[in-house]
Amino acid sequence: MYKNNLFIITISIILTLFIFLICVGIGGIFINPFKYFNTESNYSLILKLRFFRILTAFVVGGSLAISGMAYQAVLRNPLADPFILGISGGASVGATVCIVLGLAHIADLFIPGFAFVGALVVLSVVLLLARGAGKEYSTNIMLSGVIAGSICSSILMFMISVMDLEALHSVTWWMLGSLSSVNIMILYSMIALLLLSTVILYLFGRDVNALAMGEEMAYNLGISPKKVSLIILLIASLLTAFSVSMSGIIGFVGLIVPHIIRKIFGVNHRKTFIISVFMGGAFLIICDTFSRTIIYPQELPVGVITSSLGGPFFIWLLNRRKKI
Amino acid sequence: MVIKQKKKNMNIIKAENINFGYKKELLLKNFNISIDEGEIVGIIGPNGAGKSTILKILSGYLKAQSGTVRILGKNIAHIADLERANIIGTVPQNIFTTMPYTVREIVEMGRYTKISKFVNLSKKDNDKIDDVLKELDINNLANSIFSNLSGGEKQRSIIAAALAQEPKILLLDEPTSQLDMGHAVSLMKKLNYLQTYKNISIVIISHDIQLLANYVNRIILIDNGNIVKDGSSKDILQKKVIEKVYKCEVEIIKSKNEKFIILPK
Repeated sequence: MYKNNLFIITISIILTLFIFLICVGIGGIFINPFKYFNTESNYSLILKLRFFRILTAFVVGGSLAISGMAYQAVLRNPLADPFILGISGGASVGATVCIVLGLAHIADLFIPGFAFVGALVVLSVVLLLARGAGKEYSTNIMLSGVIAGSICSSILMFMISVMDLEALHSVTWWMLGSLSSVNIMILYSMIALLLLSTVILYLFGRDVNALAMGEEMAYNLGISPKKVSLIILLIASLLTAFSVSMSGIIGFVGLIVPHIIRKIFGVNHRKTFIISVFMGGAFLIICDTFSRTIIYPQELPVGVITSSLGGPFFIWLLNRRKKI
Repeated sequence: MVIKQKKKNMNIIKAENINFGYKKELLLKNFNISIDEGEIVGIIGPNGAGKSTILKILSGYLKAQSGTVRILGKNIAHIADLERANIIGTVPQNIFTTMPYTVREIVEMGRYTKISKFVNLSKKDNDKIDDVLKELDINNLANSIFSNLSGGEKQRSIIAAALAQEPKILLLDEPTSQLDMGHAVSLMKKLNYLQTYKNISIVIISHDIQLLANYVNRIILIDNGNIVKDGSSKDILQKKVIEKVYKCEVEIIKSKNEKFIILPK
């Protein structure tokens, strides 16, 4: 439909920047975007706070969308996303263990590190449980993902019920999905990670295209299916782990955004990986702006917004698949 | 129909002492097969005889428990993935995808073996894609979604991708199973053309014995993982042989222009 990749990518960058600029102005106090760089205004502190928050939203949204895109292609299931596969669940168990053990204060990257380990454990369990071929594999993946996810949430509930009040508060708030508390160190390392992952995924775009046609087809096209899907899944899980440790579980971004992108731009992953970073980022910026303003001065967890948009979409998607 | 017989041949594929089983029980025991360069070979046999397994072993997708497969004299396990894909093009059975790829995007995949990760498709690649789309009569479907197509149209798209790969060896697993008569014949003619003029070696599995008998110069009959008979169409299409393997009575007629007709009774 749209042939010129460079054009599409430029448009999505410009659109994202636009949304970014507008949303920085929106909040308890509305700031006219034309006055952002007015040095006489007193808004610089507010702008700075909002800037980091919106940057976080962009990075988390972009990571979730690109990893959802990768999971859906490599695991060959359009319903796959970090949340449904239980990967986010594993990451949050890892992060919670880190908080409960009191290791979070040792180094900034301890929480993401633990989250990654948790995500990897779930990923390997899901992949081990879901052996099989063709359509069977694609169904088994979802089943074992759901099982792994529910095991993770029971572990979480267990930890929550035995932990002290202070930890309980921070863990609960973090799990609901919030972009308000930003650790600058984690944010910067995550920006670097997202940039690097996007480049790698772009380069593997054609391999991912072939993998979505099945292992045998990919093998015949000179791709080592096991090796490449492992690389892709590891990158996706690393991005998921970082997103979860920054902002808790934010569902449905990794599910909805890739679907919308494929509807509009087609399936060539060389193109869609890049677009998903920008569209996922923009989507979460908008959701977060809603969460900041809807019941101002209070704040809604952003997960509430993404899920209430995502839930109905998911139902629509399921219905559509039945008809085919 | 002209089938060019070549004199000076070398084994382009040689599989020796293959032992393979999906579970503990071996499906193939001490299995040997060799394909000459520029030869078109048909593999036939009842369901579950091991035809697809043999093809997957020849393509290297399945690793045998013991034994070696040599491609152009080199052990396939030691050939790099990309190099192998530039030699062997494969058309597997039952390709499905959950992604809404267009037919053109699928045929493009055949060119992945030719281009580096850092560049886009060149004009030459696009021309080749246009050519194979035309050759398989799917150029009008180029922008249709693959998963919405009929079985035969899907099959032709996958064959087109394998042809876009420009391989020296083509392995096809029941490529005509869902094709209508016209497209099946035109595919066989296309394969004959590739074999005769491009010196491509072709192995083709099919249940359409009649079609194979009239378009290939060697047929291998497989049953229970063993080669029952290996020879020309005339050798294989013996009433006794076919009846014994397929456990059904048949009548084999030769038409005026030397074509085989097989009728189940």
